[in-house]
Amino acid sequence: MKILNKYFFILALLAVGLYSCEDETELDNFNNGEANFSNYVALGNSLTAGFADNALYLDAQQNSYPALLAEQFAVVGGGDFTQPLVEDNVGGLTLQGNVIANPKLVFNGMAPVVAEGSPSTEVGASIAGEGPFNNLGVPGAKSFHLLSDSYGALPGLLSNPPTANPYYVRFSQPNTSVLAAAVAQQPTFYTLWIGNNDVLGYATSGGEGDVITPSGEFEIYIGALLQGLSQTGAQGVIANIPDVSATPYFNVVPNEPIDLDEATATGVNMAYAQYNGGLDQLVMAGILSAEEAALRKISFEAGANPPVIIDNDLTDLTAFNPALINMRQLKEGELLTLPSSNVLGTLADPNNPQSVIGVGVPLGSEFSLTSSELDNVNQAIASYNQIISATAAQLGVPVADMNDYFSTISNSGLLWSGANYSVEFVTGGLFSLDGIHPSQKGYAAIANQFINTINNAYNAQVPLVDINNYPGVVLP
Amino acid sequence: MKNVITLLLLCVAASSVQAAGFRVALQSAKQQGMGHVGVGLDTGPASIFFNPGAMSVSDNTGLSISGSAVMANVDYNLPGSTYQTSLEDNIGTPFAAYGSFKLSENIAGGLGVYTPYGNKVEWPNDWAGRYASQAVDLKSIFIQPTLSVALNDKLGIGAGFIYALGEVTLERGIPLTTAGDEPDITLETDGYATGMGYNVGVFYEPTDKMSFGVNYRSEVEVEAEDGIVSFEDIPNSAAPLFNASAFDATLPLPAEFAVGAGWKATDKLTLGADFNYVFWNSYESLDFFFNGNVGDTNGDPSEPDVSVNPQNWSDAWTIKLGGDYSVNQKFAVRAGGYYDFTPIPDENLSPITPDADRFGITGGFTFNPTDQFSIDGSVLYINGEERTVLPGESNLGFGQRYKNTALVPGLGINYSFN
Repeated sequence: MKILNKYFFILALLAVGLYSCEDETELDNFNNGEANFSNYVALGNSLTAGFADNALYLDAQQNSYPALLAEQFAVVGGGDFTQPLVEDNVGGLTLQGNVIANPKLVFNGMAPVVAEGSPSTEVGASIAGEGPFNNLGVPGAKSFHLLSDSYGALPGLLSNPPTANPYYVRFSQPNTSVLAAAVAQQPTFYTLWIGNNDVLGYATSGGEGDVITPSGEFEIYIGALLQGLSQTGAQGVIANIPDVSATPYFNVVPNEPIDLDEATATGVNMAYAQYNGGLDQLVMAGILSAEEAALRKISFEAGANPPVIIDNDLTDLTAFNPALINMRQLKEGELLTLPSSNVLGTLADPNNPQSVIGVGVPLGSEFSLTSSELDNVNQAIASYNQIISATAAQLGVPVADMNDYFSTISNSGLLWSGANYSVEFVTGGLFSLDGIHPSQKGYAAIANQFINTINNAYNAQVPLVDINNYPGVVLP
Repeated sequence: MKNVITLLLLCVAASSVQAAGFRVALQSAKQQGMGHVGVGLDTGPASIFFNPGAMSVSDNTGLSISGSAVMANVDYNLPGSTYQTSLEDNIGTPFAAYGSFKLSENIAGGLGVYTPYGNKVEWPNDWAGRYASQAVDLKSIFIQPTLSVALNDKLGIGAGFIYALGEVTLERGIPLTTAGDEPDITLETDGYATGMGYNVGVFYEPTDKMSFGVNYRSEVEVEAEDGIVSFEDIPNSAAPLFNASAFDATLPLPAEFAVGAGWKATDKLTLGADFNYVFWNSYESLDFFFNGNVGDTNGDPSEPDVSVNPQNWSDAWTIKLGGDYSVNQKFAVRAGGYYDFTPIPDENLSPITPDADRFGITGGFTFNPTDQFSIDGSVLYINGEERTVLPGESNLGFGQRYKNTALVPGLGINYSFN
C-alpha cells in the first residue's frame, strides 16, 4: 500500500496545484485615453436631469444618464458627481405650498395614472448651498434658457410669460445662467444635450401651444454654449436631437382610431353630406381650390377610420358658410398625440349622442400633428442637427448621434443580453409613461451611446453600463 | 423500473465544461487516467462504450463501475464592462457501469449503462445573462445491451442497441419590471424523455503489439412531449401574455465517429491514441412549441408561441493521447491528455453551454489487491481557452467572455471473470 499512497499523494498534489492556478477572465483595459474626467458637468434639459414618467423623482434622477456616466468615469479617473436631488419618489413640485408640477405617472394595469401622494419638493426652499452641482440639467429648458442669468430667479416664475424655471430656481446661484454655473466649476469634461424643447413643445401641443425656436437663433445659442464651454479648456461631447415623432407619444394612438359599423358609417356620411356639398359649391364659385375641397371632405366607411380634426391651416370659409368650419379628416402619415386618447370617442355634449369627438365633433387641433406641422418639426430637427454638427466640428467637439441611435431603435429595437426592447408604449421597456421621456432603462442605453462616442473620440475605454439592471415601466 | 431510472438520473449531473458542447467524456475511470483513450485498445467491460468490437476478441470480461466528480468553474465577464461573476458551485457526478461475459469462444455479450451527455450550468441570481439562461440541468442515461462476435482471433465486430432517457430543466429570467422580484420561466421535462440509437465497432489486433479500432455511435433524438412550463412572479397585468403550461421539444444527442490505435511499446508500457469526430451539425436549432403564450412573441395572444433558438453548431473533433505503465503486477500508472474543439459558433454561443476549445491533462493508477479485483483512481484537469464574443457578434446581443476550468477526480471498481 505504501507505493499506492505515494502515487496517490503525487496525483493529489498535481491536481490541487493545477486547480489553484485557474485564472479569472481578464477585463478590458479600461482607461481615460486622452480625456480627463476628473471634473464632469452635464448641461441640458429634462433628459439630462433624469426626468421620467412626467416628473422628476428621486430614483430616476439617481439613474440619470449623467449620473451613470459619472459612475463609469469613476473607473478611469472620474471624480465626485453631485446632483440637485429632489426630496421624494412621488415627483412634482410645490411653490409656497401650492403644487405647480404633478406627481409622476404610474401604470395601473390599464393606463398611466397620476401617482398617489403629494410632492414634497418645495421650489422656494433653495438647495443652492449644497452645490455646486455637476448635473445642471433643467427640465423644460430650451437652448437659450441655458444662457439666461435670470432663469433661476424666483420672481421670474410669477411674471407672464414666466422668465424663470422652478427646477432651476430651486438649485441655482443668484443671477447665474446654467452656462455660467458650469463654467464656474472649471470642468475638465462636459456633456451638452440641448435643443429638444426648442421643438418639442410645438410638437406635443399639435403645433398650438408653443413656437419652434428659429434655426438662425438656435445657431447663435448653440455657438455661445459650446464656445463658452470650450473656452474653459474642458473636453466634452454634444448630443444631437432625436426625431420626436418616433416616440410613443405620437404612436400609441393609431392613425385610424375610429371603428364604425356599416350602418353608423352611412348615418355619419349622411350627416356630413351637406358639409361636403357646401365645399363643392365654393369650388364651383371659384372660392376654394378643388384640391383643398378634396382634403376637407369627410367620409367614413365600415371599419377603421381617421378622426375628424380641426386644422387651423385650412382656408377660413365661415364668412361664406358658418357651417364650413376648419375641419377635415386626419390623413395618412399624420399623427395623434397620446393625450388624444382621453378625448377621442367621448361625447362633447353628454346629452347629445351625435357629439362623439372625432366623428360628429372634430378633435381639437392640439391633439394632432398634421403633415405641415410634422414638416415644421422635421425641418427644425434637421437644421438643428446640422447646426450642432457644424458648430461641433468647428470647435473639435465630438457629437453623440442620438438621432441616429433612436431611429435605429425605433426601426429595429434594441437587443441587449437576451432582452428585446422596443419603443412600444409601456411594454417596450425603453420609454417612460409620459411617452416622451426614456425610462431608466432608456437612460442607461443613452449613457452607453455617450460612452461609445467618448471612447471613439478620445481614444478612451470607459466601461459600459448594463442596461438590464435598470427598471422600465413597473407593471402591477 | 421507473424508480430505479429516476434514482439513476438523480445521480447524474455532469457539467458542460467537462467536454465540448454538452458531451461528457467520462465513461471509465481507468481510461480517464490515460486521456480517455480507448477505441483502439482492449478496455475490458468498458469496450461496450468505447468499441463493442473489442469485447469478443478480448479475454477480459467482468464488471466495471466508475464514477467521477466534476468540479467545474466558469468565470464570466461582460466585455466592455466591469461586470464579472462565476458559475455557482457545483459538482457533477457522471457514472458508467458495464458488465460483459463470454457466451462462447467467439461471442461476447454485455450491458452498459452510461451518461454520455449532460450539462449542469447554474449562474448566480440576477446575473448579467439571466435573460439568456439562469440555469440548465440536462441529464441523460444510455442503456446499451451489446453483442460482439470475433471473426477470428484478430478481428472482432460488435453492436449495441441504445435506449436513452433524458431529463432537462431550463430556467431564464423574463425582462419585465415589477415592484417585486423579476419574473422567470422554467421549462422542465415531465418525467423522462426517451430516444433510441445504436453503437457499433470494429476491433483489429494484427500483432501482439498493435491494435486498431473504429467506433460509431449513432445520433439519439430525445423527444420531450408535454413538458411543464412554469412561471414565477409574472405581474398580473402581463399574465395573459404568459399563460403557456406545456411545451414540446426535441434535443439531438449527436452521433460520434472515433478511430483509435494501441501500441504495446514494451511489456510494461502501452500507448494509445484516439481521434473523435462529433456530428454536432445536427444541432441546428432548439425549438420549443408551447400551448400558450410565453411573452406573446408572435404578437397574437390567441396563437400559441413558438420559441426558435438557432444553434447551427459545427462538427467538432477531439484528439487524445495516453499511456499505461505497469509498475508491477499489482500496480499500474497512467497519464494522458487531449485537445477538444468547441462546436459552438461565436454568434450562437450562450450561457447554456459556455463552451470554448480546451485541453485536458490526466493521470491515474490501478491497484490490484487480488487477481480478480481492482481499483482505478484518476484525475483530469481541464483548462479552456479564454473565449470572447462581443454583444454585436451574438445573436442574443449578449457579450460573453468565459474562462473554463475543471477538476475531475474519478474512481472505478472492477471485478474480472477471468
